[in-house]
Amino acid sequence: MQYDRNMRDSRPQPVASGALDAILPTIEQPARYSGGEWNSVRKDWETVSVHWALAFPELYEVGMSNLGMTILYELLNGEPDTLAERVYAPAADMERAMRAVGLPLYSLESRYPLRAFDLVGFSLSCELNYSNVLNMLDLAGIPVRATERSEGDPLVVGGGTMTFNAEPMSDFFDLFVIGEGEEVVLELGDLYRELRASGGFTRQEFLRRAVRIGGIYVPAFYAVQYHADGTLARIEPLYAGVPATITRRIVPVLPPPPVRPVVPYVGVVHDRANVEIQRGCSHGCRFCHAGVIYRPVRERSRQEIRETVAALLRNTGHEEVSLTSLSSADYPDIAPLLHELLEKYQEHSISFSLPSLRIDSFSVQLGSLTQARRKTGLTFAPEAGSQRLRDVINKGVTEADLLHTAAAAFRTGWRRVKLYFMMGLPTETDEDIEAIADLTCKVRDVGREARGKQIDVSVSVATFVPKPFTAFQWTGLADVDTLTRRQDILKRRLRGRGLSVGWHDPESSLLEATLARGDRRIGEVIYRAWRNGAVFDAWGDQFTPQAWWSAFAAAELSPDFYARRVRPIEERLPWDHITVGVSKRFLHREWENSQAGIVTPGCMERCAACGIRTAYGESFASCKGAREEEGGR
Amino acid sequence: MSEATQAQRIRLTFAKGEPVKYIAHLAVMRAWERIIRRADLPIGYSQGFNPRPKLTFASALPVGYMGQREVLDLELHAWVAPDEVLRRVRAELPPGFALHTAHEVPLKGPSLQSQVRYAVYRVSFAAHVPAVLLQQQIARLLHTATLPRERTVKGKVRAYDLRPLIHTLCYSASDGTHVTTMVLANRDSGTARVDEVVAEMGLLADMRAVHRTRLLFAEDALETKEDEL
Repeated sequence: MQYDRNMRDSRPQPVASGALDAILPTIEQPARYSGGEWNSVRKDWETVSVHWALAFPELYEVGMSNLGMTILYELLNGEPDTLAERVYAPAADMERAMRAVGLPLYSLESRYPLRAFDLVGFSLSCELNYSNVLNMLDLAGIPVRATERSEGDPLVVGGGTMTFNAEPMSDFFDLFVIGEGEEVVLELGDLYRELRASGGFTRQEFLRRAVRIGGIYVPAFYAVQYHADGTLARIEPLYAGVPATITRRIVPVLPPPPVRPVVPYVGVVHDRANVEIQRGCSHGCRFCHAGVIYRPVRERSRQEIRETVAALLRNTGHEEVSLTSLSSADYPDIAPLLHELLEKYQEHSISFSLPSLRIDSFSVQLGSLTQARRKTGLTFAPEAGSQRLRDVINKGVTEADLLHTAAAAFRTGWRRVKLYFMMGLPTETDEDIEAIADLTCKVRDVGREARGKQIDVSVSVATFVPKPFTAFQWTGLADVDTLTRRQDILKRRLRGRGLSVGWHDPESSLLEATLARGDRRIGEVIYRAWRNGAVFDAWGDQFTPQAWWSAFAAAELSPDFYARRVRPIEERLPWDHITVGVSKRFLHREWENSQAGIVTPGCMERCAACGIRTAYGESFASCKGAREEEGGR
Repeated sequence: MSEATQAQRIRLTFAKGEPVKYIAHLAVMRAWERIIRRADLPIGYSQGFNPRPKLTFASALPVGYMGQREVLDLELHAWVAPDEVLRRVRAELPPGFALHTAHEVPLKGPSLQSQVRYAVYRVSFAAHVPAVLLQQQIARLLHTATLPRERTVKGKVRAYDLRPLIHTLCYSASDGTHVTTMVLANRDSGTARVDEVVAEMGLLADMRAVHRTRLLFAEDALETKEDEL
């Protein structure tokens, strides 16, 4: 299994097409595994010194829709001495077939087994993908635990939004990139190349040098101690030169966006071209993880967006372009931009979409521009039913806003409106859930008034899961009885014509909550759960809760300790050695404001002194909200 | 009027090989729409809420099969020289696709699909299968008057006779591998699939590469021969 990287002959060979022909004819959606898509990059393996595998621990259809993968793929392949190839989690039928014939997990481009790569980077975007990471490593013949790897194995790198609490997955990774990867991946590649060229490469030496790169976290270089009650006592560097805290990497100015994304054959989740028009969100919803970890807001210029759209359409042939961001309606001059694009591409039948609209009539106007021909549906996220609770979570939306917006939407021609709510939020009572039903019925009535009986209001109620680096990071997941009772309220209230309601599986939310705020001991649970057969936990039909609960029991850990316990403010959190730029002081202040029902305006209105400016300094002129206030506090 | 006279229909013959043989027909259609858009050809769009580019395929090719001379029609709303179409499309083809020809056909002619009569396949089998077994099975099938089978279409079981849909079935060995040539009906009223024929031969597990070498249209010679049969 091991091989000497300096000896070419011992390197694993690419998977032969005959080997694939023997299994793919019986596999569902074989094109997930055959590669060769337009814009996929095939470089000469021998002439390149840094080989990256970019792995996404989900099905091809999901992974191909991930913007981060697209960005890094184009960026790394743009380097003359580097190649990057893709790999996704095989579905159960393919995994069975691969294991049956001993076919290792391979990349889609060259079909080299993952073991042949120098660095294997996993994008971690969801807790419920964790078991897939272990399964993919195992299928690749790479030891699952970092401590079991040896010199012939690739370095396994974790990136993505989940790494802000990297502890639960730290047993399985050699290093993590905390924050935006655009610069770091190149720096890691340079280090790798340099060490190889000097002949002084060892895994240990690489890691020892990598921790000098900002945003790099090598979990093995830290000692973790716990109190007798199971809470965390400390996480400290084991060696001199290892940083005590790791600061999230961010790019002051958004690098040029990808313009040659791989065009999939298989219909993927987001089957369209994407332009990231801005990164970050200025609203400050207290439950929102993305709202904190992508701060501050950074916009692309209209000119750059214009050029990117033109290049994307020319290079992909896509029929739809999505102008993505956490809150696209916030982009300055979004309406003129949209008008311009629609007019320019009208004759080519290109459609545009804007994800994540706000609840205001402006967003309905934008929606009627993007869905002029076919009004498929509009989605709004009031998140909570009562004004009191919306103030708690800092969702700056009123009932009047929603009803106005819904009325405008129905009048403009939509028949279907989707509403997103959460259940189990801090301070929530049964009355708040009744308020979800009241609000939904009012939206339906507004719709009937405008359009008659032929309208449809669908409600999606997610279980609130507390996430690290949010104002709610100390609070607990609601207990099962409460959640069940509140679901029953909605089941009873939201019946009848024009209404439908859906929710998350409570057990799946419990798992997500344990993994989101777990400490390093959770690694043992993840390992055992995977050994128990856990895989594709995000898929309701494949999620096996028992694999997890018995793993918790075997590891002598309690899911409730991690998920439901309210953590005292003084308690050391497993992610306290990571600095995201938003200060813990700010998050605590926001927690207190939430308990008092005090609303904090968005940072375009008034700087809330979140800490970004202090952490990253003057290079962040784009942090528009930040003025003198942050310095003053 | 001048607009209308400028519109044209272009017929493309193309190949689908490795690794795109694994993409399903719907994905092939989508891939071609994207190829045509990248080639910046003045493709026509259907009317309605969800306009689609005017691309018509002669026949869907099953997943996993390679096609040597597949056929598709494009409807353009402005005239482009066929050679120019050839050049622009070739520049945008992903690996595994090849474009053989592009030529103009009458705009108002019958639909491409309605003109297909037969498909010609070259089917190879694992080397360990005795040649005599293949020959016996072919002979058995050809001497059978009927081959009643069932096909499940959208959950409904439908009985049909496979035999009249088999026009030609013959064996040839080449370079130590077994190859059979099949000419199978491929029309709205009845289509035989290679895997059905091979299943009747009892050799499905030993079937290897399948190439559809060409499609035969109403105007092709076989049609007149069929009348003689």
